[in-house]
Amino acid sequence: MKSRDGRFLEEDDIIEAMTDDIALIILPTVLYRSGQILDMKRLTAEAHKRGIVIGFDGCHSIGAIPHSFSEWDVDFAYWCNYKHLNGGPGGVGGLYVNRKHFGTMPGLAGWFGSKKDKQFDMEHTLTPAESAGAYQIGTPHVLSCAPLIGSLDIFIEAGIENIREKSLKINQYLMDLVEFELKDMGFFIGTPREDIRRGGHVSLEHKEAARICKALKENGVIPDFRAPNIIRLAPVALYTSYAEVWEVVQILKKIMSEKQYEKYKNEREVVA
Amino acid sequence: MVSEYTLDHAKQMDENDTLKGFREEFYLKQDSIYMDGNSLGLLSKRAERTLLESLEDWKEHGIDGWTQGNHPWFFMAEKLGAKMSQLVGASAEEVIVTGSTTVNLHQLVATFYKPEGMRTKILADELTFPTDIYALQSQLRTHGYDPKPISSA
Repeated sequence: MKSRDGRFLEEDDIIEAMTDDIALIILPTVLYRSGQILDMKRLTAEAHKRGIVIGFDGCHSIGAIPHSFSEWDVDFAYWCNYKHLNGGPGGVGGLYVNRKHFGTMPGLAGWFGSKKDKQFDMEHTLTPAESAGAYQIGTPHVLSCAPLIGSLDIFIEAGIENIREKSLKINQYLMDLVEFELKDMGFFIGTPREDIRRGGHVSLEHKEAARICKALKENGVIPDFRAPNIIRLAPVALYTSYAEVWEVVQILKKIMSEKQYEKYKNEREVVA
Repeated sequence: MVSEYTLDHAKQMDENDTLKGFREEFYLKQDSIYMDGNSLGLLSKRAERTLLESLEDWKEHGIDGWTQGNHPWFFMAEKLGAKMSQLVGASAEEVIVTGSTTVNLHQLVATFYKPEGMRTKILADELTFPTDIYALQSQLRTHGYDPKPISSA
């Protein structure tokens, strides 16, 4: 299914594409470039009206925004835990399966999907767990799970609603500053402006994006670049200060007015 | 309002930030501003501690670390899933910490994609992250279909 402008998806277009030859829908919760949030509640209801199963990729929303997967009746979701959840590089991911599907045999079975008290019976017939645990496959990557234990405590303590509130405010502040300080410098804010439609980062589009990112790094700011023309900036509720956001925009302004980016090639690094 | 865009105003907002205390829990670099937490979040002291405790469990308990120690390994995925469930609005049994994004997508498609009669297609969007598309295309191939690139779908 196509985007009208290369940035955003229209829920109406997605619903129109839910034709009777569709068996399954997979969509992101938050788009990784623009940071747009899809209306998961509406899309799930529309999919179910048509008898279609729907699952979401939550990589860019977990830990940044609250979700109501059960209430929305989402069928399943999956995500990584090393972005907003700070679980560490290559850390173990997560998945959600709606309880109405418990008992559905895992497509990819393995012994860690067993009911816990049966696992060591060593039988050759799998007795799956009566929970999302049934969809585990192999032995857990224990040391890559371990940082999450401490990290999740921070999220529970801070409260996801409070995190979302600051995230919206500090991202709004970044966008306001960009509009105020960087006008007429060729930037375009490629993130939805309404709170309800934006996730936890701001996407700045610029034709010199790759080399502006290199200049930012040279100036002590760590952004990321997404080809062909996006600088993603994520003020994080738990550890980014408003003063830092202010400083980032001042640095950007200096890079642009002094044309510092011209020192570099407008190409991405191996890992962008 | 122009007067709002001063460093002092930014500092004032930091002062009023109810989450400001958490910042000290993270390893931030002195001369650097990290704006990439949506790609790789930073290490917190608590995350470091539970990782070191888990290494300690291995050191102290060997095989018995599966059921003993600070964070018994046999129940870790379930316990983490239960904790995480409130972040996604689910009940404890509906969430598990396992795999990676791509592996979990493969698992869920292998479990819930059941083509029948005319209903054979998977709907995805052209802006999604490439790994999702690679996984979906390979799942379609294992069912004997020849998926078209998304741009021409």
